[in-house]
Amino acid sequence: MILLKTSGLSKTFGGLKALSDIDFSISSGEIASLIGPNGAGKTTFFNLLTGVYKPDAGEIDFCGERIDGRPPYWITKRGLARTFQNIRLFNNMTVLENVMVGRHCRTRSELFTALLRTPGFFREEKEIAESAMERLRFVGLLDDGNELAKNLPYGAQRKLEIARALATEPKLLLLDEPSAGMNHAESLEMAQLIQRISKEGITILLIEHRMSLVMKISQNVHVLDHGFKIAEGTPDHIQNHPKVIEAYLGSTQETPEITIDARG
Amino acid sequence: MTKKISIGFLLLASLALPLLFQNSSYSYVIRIFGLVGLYMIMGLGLNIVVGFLGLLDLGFMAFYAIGAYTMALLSKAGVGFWPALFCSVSLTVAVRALLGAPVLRLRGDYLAIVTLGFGEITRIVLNNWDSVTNGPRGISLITDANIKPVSVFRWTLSTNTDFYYLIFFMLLLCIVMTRRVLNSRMGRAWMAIREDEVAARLTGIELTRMKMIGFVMSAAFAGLAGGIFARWENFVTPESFTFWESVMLVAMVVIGGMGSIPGTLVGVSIVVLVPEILRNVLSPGLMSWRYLLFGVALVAIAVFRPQGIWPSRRRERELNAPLSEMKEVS
Ligand SMILES: Nc1ncnc2c1ncn2[C@@H]1O[C@H](COP(=O)(O)OP(=O)(O)OP(=O)(O)O)[C@@H](O)[C@H]1O
Ligand SMILES: [Mg+2]
Repeated sequence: MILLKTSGLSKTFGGLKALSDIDFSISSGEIASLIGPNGAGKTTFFNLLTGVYKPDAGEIDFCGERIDGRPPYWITKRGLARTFQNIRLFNNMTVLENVMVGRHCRTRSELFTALLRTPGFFREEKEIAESAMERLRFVGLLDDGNELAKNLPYGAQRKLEIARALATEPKLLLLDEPSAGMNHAESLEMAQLIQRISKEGITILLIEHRMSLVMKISQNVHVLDHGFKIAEGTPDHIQNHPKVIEAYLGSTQETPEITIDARG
Repeated sequence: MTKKISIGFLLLASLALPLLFQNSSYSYVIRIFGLVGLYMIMGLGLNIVVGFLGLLDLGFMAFYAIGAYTMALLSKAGVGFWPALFCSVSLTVAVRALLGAPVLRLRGDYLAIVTLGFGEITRIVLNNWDSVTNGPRGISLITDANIKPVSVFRWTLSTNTDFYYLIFFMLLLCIVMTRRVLNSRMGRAWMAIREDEVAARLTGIELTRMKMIGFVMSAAFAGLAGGIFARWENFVTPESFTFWESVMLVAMVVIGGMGSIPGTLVGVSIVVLVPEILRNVLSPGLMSWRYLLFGVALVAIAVFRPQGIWPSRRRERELNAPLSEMKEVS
């Protein structure tokens, strides 16, 4: 079953065509990767899906519903969550509070219940804290719950962003370079985490520069270059695709395996 | 434990203060502390906007004015104190919502300009709408036989001491309300917005709605304070609600420590009390210098203690960290 589908998706910044006519689809339960050289338009694609930018042309269908042109909170509530290439946490809130904010779109209490401290308010607060802790346990950060987010080491911050995104109960999780800046051991751990999330029934699309990770965990790979989609297919297929090799190396020279690791 | 003791001590001292000064030649102190209380109520409201939503509001006194004029006009029409106070708060909130609806969608900087403009417009309207507001002469509530007394159960409030206690209990109520809201889903959403608006939006927070609720709630505090002020002073005039007053209010919140309840209370106390103290200790020749001294003190605090005197735990750490603001979404 197709979970998300775009057709003819385009976005221009000033004179720059960041994305041109992108047809893309991802099925439920899949782990897919989006790769491409720097500036190819990968993050822009995520920004269009999550409602940060409105597409200039094209459609986005998610669970059989048009989501293009909708505001981000609406899209998040439908079940699309993401992380950011440059980590964006609520730095001066605690680790637990960060994840609790993720529960916002699944809970309701506002001014009056908070002022009157109704039984419903306490029930909901308890639910928020408990399910936030559950997400922290899932990513392995439960012991750091009371730290301020910004005091966490880098790798843990990436996990915290994922926990916050998971707290919104996504059907589709978009990860923007989850292993960027990590060493080999950490990136292996990240790969395992992604596979565990997938086992929970969450579909995953990740942008990744680290080819070993892409090839290891993804079922499908989509390749962008200069805003165009130049290839898609299984990791094996992509690895030997002449256009992909050209895009990465800037020449038609045959190379047996892509070893580009642009981002550490 | 020490915290509980000091809070208890402060509460007792606040309760005892009027009794100590009531019959002395220092009885005006009660009035000054009453005013401090009113400013504290307003400061708590403004703190939501400035300290939590991270928005600059330069016209907050306009809402104090709306609360005060509503109270004055309704009292003259024979409406009792409590229903009139309810109307003061409601009307203030309604006007605030009308103002917020178009501007909260815009970037934060516009809000400063719009609120500044709204504050001035309010003052000008009060000054010129003679048939209703009596223009610059203001509205006096002293001679009118129509006016119902301010009463709580069977007590009638009239003296400074009476109003001091009324304000004191209202302030306690406002502190409790603020604390409750900040420790809830709403408060966390506000903090998230302040920390990173983009991430907050993409984590499922309806930005405009959350800002709107905070923006509107803050005005309720101003309307409440304004309503009480009108009956205490028995007189309202447009000149009580100037741009200068709005700026001082922002200064109170910033000096005390943005986003912190005790910080706001401390900031208000300092900004209101220091000029009063200077008035008493300075020789007449230096009197006219007191605002200069005060200004220098403000600048010194801004330079040497930018997080305020009593910052919220979180804000303190944030301001000591190097600034590395990320603007783009990536
Ligand atoms: N808000 C924006 N305004 C103007 N240009 C933009 C904006 N966002 C992205 N771009 C441009 O669009 C192009 C694609 O950028 P994008 O961030 O999507 O690339 P990317 O594939 O994620 O690259 P990287 O691997 O470096 O993260 C780049 O040339 C970038 O400069
Ligand atoms: Mg990118």
